[in-house]
Amino acid sequence: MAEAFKTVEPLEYYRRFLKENCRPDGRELGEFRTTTVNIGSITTADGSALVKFGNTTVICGVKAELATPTKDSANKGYIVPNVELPSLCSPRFRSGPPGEEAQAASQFIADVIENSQIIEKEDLCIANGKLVWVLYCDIICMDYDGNLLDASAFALLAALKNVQLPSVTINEETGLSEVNFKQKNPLMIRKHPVATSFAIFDDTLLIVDPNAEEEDLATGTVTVVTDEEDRLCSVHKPGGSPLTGAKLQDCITRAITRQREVKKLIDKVINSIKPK
Amino acid sequence: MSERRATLRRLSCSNGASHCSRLLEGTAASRERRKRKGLSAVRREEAGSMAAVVLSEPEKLYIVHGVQEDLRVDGRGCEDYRCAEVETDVVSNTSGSARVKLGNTDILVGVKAEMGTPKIEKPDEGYLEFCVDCSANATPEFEGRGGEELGTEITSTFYTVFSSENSVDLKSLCINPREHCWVLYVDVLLLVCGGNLFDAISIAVKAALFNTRIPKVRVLEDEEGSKEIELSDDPYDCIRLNVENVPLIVTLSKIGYRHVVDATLEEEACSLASLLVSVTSKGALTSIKKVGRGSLDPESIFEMMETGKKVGKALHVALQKILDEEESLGTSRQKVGFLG
Amino acid sequence: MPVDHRRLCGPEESHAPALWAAEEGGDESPRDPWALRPLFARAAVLSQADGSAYVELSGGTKVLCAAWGPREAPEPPTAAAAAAALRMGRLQCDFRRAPFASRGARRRPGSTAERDAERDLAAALRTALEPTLQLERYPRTRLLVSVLLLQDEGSVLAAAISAGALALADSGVQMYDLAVGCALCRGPDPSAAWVLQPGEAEERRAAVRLTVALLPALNQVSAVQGAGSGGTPEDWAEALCFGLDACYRLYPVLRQSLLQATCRRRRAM
Repeated sequence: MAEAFKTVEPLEYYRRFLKENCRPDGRELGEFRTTTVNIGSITTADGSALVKFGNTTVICGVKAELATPTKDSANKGYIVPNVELPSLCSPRFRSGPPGEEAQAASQFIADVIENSQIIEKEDLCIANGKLVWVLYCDIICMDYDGNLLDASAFALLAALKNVQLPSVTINEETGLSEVNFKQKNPLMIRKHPVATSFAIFDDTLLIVDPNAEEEDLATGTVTVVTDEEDRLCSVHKPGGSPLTGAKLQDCITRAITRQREVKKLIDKVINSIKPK
Repeated sequence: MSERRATLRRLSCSNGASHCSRLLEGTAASRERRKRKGLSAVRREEAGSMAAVVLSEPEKLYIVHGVQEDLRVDGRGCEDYRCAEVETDVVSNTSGSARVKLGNTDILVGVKAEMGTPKIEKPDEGYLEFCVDCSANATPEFEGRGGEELGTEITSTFYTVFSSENSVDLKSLCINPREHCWVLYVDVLLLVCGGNLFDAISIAVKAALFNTRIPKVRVLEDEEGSKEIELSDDPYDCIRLNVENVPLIVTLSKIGYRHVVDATLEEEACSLASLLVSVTSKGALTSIKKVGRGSLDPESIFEMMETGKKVGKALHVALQKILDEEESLGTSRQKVGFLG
Repeated sequence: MPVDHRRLCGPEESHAPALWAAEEGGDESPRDPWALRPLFARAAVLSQADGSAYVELSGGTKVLCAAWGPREAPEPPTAAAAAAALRMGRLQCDFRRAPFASRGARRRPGSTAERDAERDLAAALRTALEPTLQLERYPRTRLLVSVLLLQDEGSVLAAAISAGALALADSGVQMYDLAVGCALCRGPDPSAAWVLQPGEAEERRAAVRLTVALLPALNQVSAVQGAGSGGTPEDWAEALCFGLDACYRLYPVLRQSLLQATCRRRRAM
């Protein structure tokens, strides 16, 4: 009976739960799904991380390559993030080139990297004007059950923390670069931005970490990105129902708490895989 | 008439015996059926990606039972090819070209040699590029994007077949390492699809490569180390490719419990799975691939590979004989071309 | 090269650092030709697909596959295709390789070379999986199989075939049998023997490569795809027997994973 009701009147079905301050999957309104992270599982990448928010699964692999910098920023490397939503992750996506949602997510991640200064691009410089690192961060969603942005940002951060770059020297005589794979250095991660998304229900109710069903029923979403110094890196609110200042302040407070938890989780995992 | 016969020769790898009289009944039946099909000409269907005809169950049964007795509808045995016509040097603005008619199937292949830069991973070799054009003339299904799937399937098959290191001596295509090499663009045009496309195309490709003449160039280096490429003045001064190791594809279609070579469209409609093998003139198999939506039992794959080797070797001998004969006629040969 | 506006592209040209590294000697450890790399398979891993499977070969090849049961097929383009659709369903395959899946340079997604390679793999997967399905039972529909390669350490197509068959079975469509894939290769050395489930380095050096797929319950071969320097039919037959035997040995692992998935599902109910 409940199943039939859910199919016919999904919104009403949801409202009944929300009235009791809980969600159909058993969570409270402010409760996150179980979050797990697995770092360094892809050995062909220079750094990788797999993040799960409940069913939502996102993998990020970082590949480092060498390139020449542009003329106007001769001492800066490149960070190139891309989010892919292959047909495998959900029947709502078709195969072929990235669709609108994937493009928007890529842009969001690029903005987070740019605004939060997660890595100083100058750190990626090897020889001024000649040689810099390019970090290709490919984020692929494997199971799409809502809250793609949080999971992607999390996977990116964890993967970057896992990156080990081989040492590169430029031979003075020949002018050619020499790469030594035996000597590897981790990347300097300057900031730890964490994204926290909220779904807005019936214009007023905020629920945290929405799954795919909740995202479809919600009247709007908002994503807040903060770093460990409690600074706001980005607020992403793509249309939908309006939000009062007080509500937004509430979101930011909750995002700050979430940032602490996520940072703790990453540190724990990084420490556990460190060679003793 | 005599000149015509000199250029248009028949290529058959049957074991000598004439099948024409053996199955008059069969050929008559096939003619009859073709007439019947004319009445319902719209009954065509897509089977896999191949253009194919729709047959009713009794029609299929007729073909399957015939194959069981080594008697095919057009009078051939299971391991016989249809008559093939091969003519090379048919397109004057290519480096080499060939047209092959195998039964109804009609293929034109042109090879163009252009100068390019070698690939990074193989700095001292030239390379081949394949392009297949499924013309809408061949079958109405190819209209629009219809032929694309088949085109890419054929292209990727040929890349695989020619990936074997010694099929063509790629080192001879190198002009100077890392800088210049010859790139052979092999363009395949399907004019008529009448079954057994892969074999017909491979015959045409080999004939076109045999016919290919690449101008001789020399690399001149002056004292400062700058290089210049000089083309030979004599237009007849050119490189010929050694096509001895270029493989031919033999498609073996499983029909009932047996397999046939060179299946017609009707026979292809009765076959759920086929095995493509590429065979060199020495009888070595350089690639094998199952196609079609059916499966094969291991025993029959072994048998098919054996047949493929035997038939492929005979096909190579027959083709080489024709190519050599045509070559011996030199420039005096009268060309038949498309209207012949 | 046309610019890809749908992705963030970065610099026009960049090279893998390995290009400038000192050549590393390959680890030529002799191996038992009979040995199979341990295979890990788990069905029902994704929430959004009707059926799914994950296959990992020890050494690192990781393949994820999702399958969807009969769905509405788009209007066939020609009358001929429509006639075929009336008789049976269609299997549609999609193959994606993660840009970070291979060693060396990153594969640029959307580039022509990458698209061609993915299309060829998808076509090969389709030929291997079609014989396992009772497509006559699903006229006018299409079944979907979508594969994501996460890491390439050799024997990719074989792993994808096994994963695809598991995912289809997990989605509950009617099948004749599972398809089990296995790859083999042989080194350039004339005395070299066939090796089962080669790694990426072995594949790169190999003179001959072969991938087979078997429907073990019916003893039917659903895929044979091999190429390389020539061999006699006997050579190939030997390799084929060798590969098929390996498929029989892998079969119980796949069956077990299906059984476990069903048990997990029942417990969750």
